[in-house]
Amino acid sequence: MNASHNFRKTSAAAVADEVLGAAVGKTANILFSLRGAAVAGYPGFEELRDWGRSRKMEVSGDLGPYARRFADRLEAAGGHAHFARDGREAVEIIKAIAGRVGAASAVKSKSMTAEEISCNEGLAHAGVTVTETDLGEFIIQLAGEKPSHIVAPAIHKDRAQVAELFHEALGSAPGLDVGDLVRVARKALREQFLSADIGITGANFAVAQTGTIAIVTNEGNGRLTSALPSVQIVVAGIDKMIPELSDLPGFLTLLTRSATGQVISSYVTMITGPRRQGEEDGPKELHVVLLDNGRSALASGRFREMLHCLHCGACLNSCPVYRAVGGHAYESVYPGPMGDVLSPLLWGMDAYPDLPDACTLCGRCAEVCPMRIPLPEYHRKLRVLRAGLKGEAAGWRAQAWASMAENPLLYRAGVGAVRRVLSHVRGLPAKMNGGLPGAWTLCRELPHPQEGPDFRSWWEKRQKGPSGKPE
Amino acid sequence: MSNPEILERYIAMARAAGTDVECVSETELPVRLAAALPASGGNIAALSASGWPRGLRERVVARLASSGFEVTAPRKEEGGGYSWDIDRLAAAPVGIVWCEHYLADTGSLVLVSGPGMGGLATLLPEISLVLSPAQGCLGDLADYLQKTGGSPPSRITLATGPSRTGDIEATMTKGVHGPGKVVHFIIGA
Ligand code: SF4
Repeated sequence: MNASHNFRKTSAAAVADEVLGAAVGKTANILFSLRGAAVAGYPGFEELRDWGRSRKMEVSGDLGPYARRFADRLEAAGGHAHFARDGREAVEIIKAIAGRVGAASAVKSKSMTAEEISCNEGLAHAGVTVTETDLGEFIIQLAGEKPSHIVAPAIHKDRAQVAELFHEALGSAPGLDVGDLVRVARKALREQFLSADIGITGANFAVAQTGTIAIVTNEGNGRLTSALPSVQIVVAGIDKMIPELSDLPGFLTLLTRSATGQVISSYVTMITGPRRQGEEDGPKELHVVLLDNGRSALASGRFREMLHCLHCGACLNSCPVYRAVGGHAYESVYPGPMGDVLSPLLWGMDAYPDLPDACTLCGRCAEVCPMRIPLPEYHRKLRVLRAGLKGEAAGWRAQAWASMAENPLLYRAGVGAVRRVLSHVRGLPAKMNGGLPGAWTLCRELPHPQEGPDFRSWWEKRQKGPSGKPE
Repeated sequence: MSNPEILERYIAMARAAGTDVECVSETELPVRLAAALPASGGNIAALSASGWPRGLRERVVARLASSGFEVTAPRKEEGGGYSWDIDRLAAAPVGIVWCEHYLADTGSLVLVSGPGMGGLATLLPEISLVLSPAQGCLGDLADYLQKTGGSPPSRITLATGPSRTGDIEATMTKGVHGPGKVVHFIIGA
């Protein structure tokens, strides 16, 4: 990301796109309700969130040793661990593996971490064609776009657009419905699975105790990617560590219920090393690329809990800003509330100066986050941090507000003045046309203060009561 | 929970996830299995080679033959390792495996790797038929992991219901990469 990103501009364009708004709103809403029901149906979910947070606190407090322990266990199980300081190093490692085995093609199961390092582009330079196999990722790869949601990457497309895309790119009949579209993708991708030299996956969890990688999918593409090709490369952030195998059930519950509202996803695959003696499937070589890319710096700072993120997407689905603009407006692999915080932290405040403002501080994300990451608080801290970086004092409006709020007499006088002004607009419609009033009431209504005394006078009168005593 | 209770819970959870659960006796099994075979899409059945209780695999093979199905299975090679005939496997509309354990809490099958265990037979074909003993039901993943004693097999897959996707407008659709239909026969329940 070179030029700095301008959220005001990108979000305005996104809001103007009606298909996008409807598609994102619909899916985010479904996922949000499914999560609500799944969490309500699990007594003890709140306690589980506390447990998850404390387990991840142990890991983020000791990230390096956990990652090294994982690497040792992985090697003991016959796999190869590679540490990559940044995305470029990670891509070099992956390219070197592909070059050594003479790979021409790879199948990939959805991985945001691989997206973060632009793995596909890197491999393309090395002459390796990468096919995305998650249906959503496959759709956007055909469309030449980027994912717009960390769990549902094609959330911005509706079925008509997908039918059109498949018609053009794959020659399927026009206007297919969802079931037929899925069949078309199955057939096209099956051929890729059977012929690919390399399988690339992400990891939902990396178990330090055993060197185990856990991959969660619904489609089965993660399973196929880690079963058919003879070389598997896993791209995992070092934040994916969990201490022990016995932690996995709890984290899986937190993840799947928060992400899609499922009790469990269709396939959870736990991989410990490559194919063993005599086995007929699984990779003969298993490589795990452990990516830092700014993560260890987070561990010692005041945004440490971002390292606990499970990438469940619940915060995106809950966010009024994300729902209105979709993922592309963020121009980052990580959109929505978690992205507002992660993008400036991983790629610098210069690259994403206004993402901390893409937030109304409504607090819904913190309510749904399974790891209890204080996302609104982090947005606020980033704004303060940004002001400090720019050597900015608070704006004159904020300063005026602060001095008024600190002085009760002044505050009361101010509120009285506003009431008097507002009493004159009582006759005006809640929505207005044109100019500043029109713009202001476009997405809010003109407040109509009620008639009668204000709260303070009412309260004082009530305290006295007719008998002079509190009623 | 006692075994009948967790079994009951398993059945409810697995059905909710979209698995067809059939409780059968050993004598009923061949007929019920034959009824679940696909009527179209070819006559190859992919069958795992290992893990079966004594004699059962032979009876399954016999039943498949009388239903007109040829069997493809991981074959033992000279070095002692197994391998699939991948073309025949890819052409099979149905896969059949033995699965020792399954989990009540989530309605999941526990598919483990191992020589000849034939995991791909539960993944590539459109229809996955899985056979298990009634006493193989465990409470949850924690119970299973405890059994592995901290040294898990190379791959453990929890398979819960058919393969599915919600990637187009969050419309749940079955059978995207894996099976669209999963039938779990619990023997002796
Ligand atoms: S920040 Fe929390 S809610 Fe958002 S994706 Fe991460 S774990 Fe999920």
